[in-house]
Amino acid sequence: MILIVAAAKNGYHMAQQESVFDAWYKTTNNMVDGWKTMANGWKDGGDAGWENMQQTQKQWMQGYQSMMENMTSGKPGSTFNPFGSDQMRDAFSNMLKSVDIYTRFFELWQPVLRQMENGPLDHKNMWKFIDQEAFKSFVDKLFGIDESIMKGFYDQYTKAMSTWISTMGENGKNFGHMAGNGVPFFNGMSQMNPEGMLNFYSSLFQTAQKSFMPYFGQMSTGSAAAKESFTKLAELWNDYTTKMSQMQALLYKTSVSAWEKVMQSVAEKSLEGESDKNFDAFYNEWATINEKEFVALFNTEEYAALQGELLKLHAEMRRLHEKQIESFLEPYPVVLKSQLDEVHKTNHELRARISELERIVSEMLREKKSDPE
Amino acid sequence: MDEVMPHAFATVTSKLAQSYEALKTIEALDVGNTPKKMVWKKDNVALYHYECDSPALLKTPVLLVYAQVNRHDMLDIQADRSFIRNLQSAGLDLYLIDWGYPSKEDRFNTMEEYICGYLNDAVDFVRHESNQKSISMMGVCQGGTFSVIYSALHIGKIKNLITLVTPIDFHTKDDMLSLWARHLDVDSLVDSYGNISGQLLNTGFEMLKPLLKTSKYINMLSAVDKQAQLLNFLRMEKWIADSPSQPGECFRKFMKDLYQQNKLVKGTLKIGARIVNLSEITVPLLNIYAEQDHLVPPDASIPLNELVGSKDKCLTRFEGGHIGVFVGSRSQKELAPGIVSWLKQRDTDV
Repeated sequence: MILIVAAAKNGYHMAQQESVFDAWYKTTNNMVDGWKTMANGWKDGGDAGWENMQQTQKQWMQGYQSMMENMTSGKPGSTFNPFGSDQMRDAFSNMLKSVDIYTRFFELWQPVLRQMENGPLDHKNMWKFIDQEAFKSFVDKLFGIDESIMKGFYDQYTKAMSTWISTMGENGKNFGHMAGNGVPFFNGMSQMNPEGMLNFYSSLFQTAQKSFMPYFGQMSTGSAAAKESFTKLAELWNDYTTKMSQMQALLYKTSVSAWEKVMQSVAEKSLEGESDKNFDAFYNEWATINEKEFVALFNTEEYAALQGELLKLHAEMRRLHEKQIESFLEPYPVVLKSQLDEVHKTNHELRARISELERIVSEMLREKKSDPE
Repeated sequence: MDEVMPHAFATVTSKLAQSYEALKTIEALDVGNTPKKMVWKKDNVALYHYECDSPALLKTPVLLVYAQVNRHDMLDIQADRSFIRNLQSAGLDLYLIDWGYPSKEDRFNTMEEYICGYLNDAVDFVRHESNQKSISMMGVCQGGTFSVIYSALHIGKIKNLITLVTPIDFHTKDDMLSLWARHLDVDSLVDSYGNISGQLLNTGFEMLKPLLKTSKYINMLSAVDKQAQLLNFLRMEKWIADSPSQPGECFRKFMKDLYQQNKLVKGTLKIGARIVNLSEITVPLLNIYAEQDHLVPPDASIPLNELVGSKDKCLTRFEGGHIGVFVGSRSQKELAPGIVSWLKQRDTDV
């Protein structure tokens, strides 16, 4: 009976799973058919048809991405992960991300290319037809500038601080409220607005100072050391956000220059009557020019130094953060990471000594074998 | 062009839907399928012997030393694109050292322990098993650097040395990895993270060709209905994603002494108490570099031939990139047979 119920449940899940993905598959095919029909009658379709198509595509992509997010949390074959293995899910996820970038690219360039139908377009004037906000978002997407590092750090930081705050009573409430408000900000971190980050940081730090400073001297969890650690972490964060915004500025600047070069090339080709045959060819030309420009940037001392500083700051923030967590956990009967590290180190030393002894024994046995006397 | 744009756009979306259908039907793919047997293991490091029905044509066995970066499966990516199979079918008796996936204890493993410990133990095992005083060593990329250092320190145990896409001079022009490495605070990274994650390294490698990942997936969409091509692609992606962490202490020394201070070329690299003097390598050397290698540029590999003391030394240029050397179609026909032919001429008792 239990088996029957389980089978029925599985059947239900399978049906549910199939319906979700089949619906998506059907929608996609319908949408594609619609586009093709529209493309065939493109000259009569006008801008309205085009905008509708873009809008539909955008909505479809958004829905699709949220499905992918569900998939990443589901086991292979589960309701939200219809793939036979994580490898196939990841491959599909990468395809999706690439199509997303391609689509954004398409949206950004489409008004420029359409404008060019009316006559030559100067590479400086092309920016009038490009959505600047979408351009920035496109570059962020291309280089994976999102919450992965920053949000991860802040999530942990917020969690640790919230736990800490809960032990602090009334005076911690202000800070708790502030840290709580920070969560939507962390989620919006992908926008990497340096001004917003600095404002947030400064407000966070001021509130923290007001709430915590009287307590640092009395805390059982590290007192002066904890205070120093907290201040240091805040300083590092400030440095990190500043350097990160410098890095982004370099990327945006290089993108602008690369895109203008693409435009120049397109304009020149157009004058010579040799424009790209299709959009894929145009994309490939764009990719080639952009890759060259970015490689030139990455090959500079300035970029390398900035990247090195960011990695160092991130590593230091992590170390300090771990220290803070440890100082919070110190009164509790748990094994701390630093203690575990010591255990691993000792194990490693013992292992190395055993290996050395084994080598000595092997050598002795070999000698004995070759000289029985 | 404008008229065909919606078509191109629709095609990409349609191909994405097709890729979903195609990927849904594929189970996990295997790489590294040439039959092999684990013959020795210590901690997380293992030694494999490739099994073969027919006896090897060369009596000197070859120990393959791959990098700790990524996995050796790239040498055996699939049956019809396998450097390992090609070497084996040309008559070699092959062993491979597998560095494994470093544990938290392995974070403290030094370069000395890997080269003079694990690698030396593996060499002794192969010598003993094959009843040979010395064996041939074939190092790939960082594994090549390890092999060169080993050969300089263990004269008499190595009969022939082959290096493939191996960095030796870490301060050459146009070596972007080297430029980045020189600006890294390696101590800070290792002290904070312990083992250095493969994901971090892969991100760095991707940034060397920043548009490649997006473009290759977009281009792959056009071939999603070509099963063989799709499977090739997916196997390579599997290999790229399977990226072990770098053991912390070994990474620290590799980055500081080699990438930052270029000590191997300067003759100041110390392994334990000993200085690594490349001129002490006097065995036959075959040094193969890839013309379009963006990870280990040709200029980083070529100087080895000038630095060793060997009289019998060959420098071979191969068309292709760092990986293409092993998986490209030309490689299947030329690379392994060329190496085996070189070894055959040196498979003597002397």
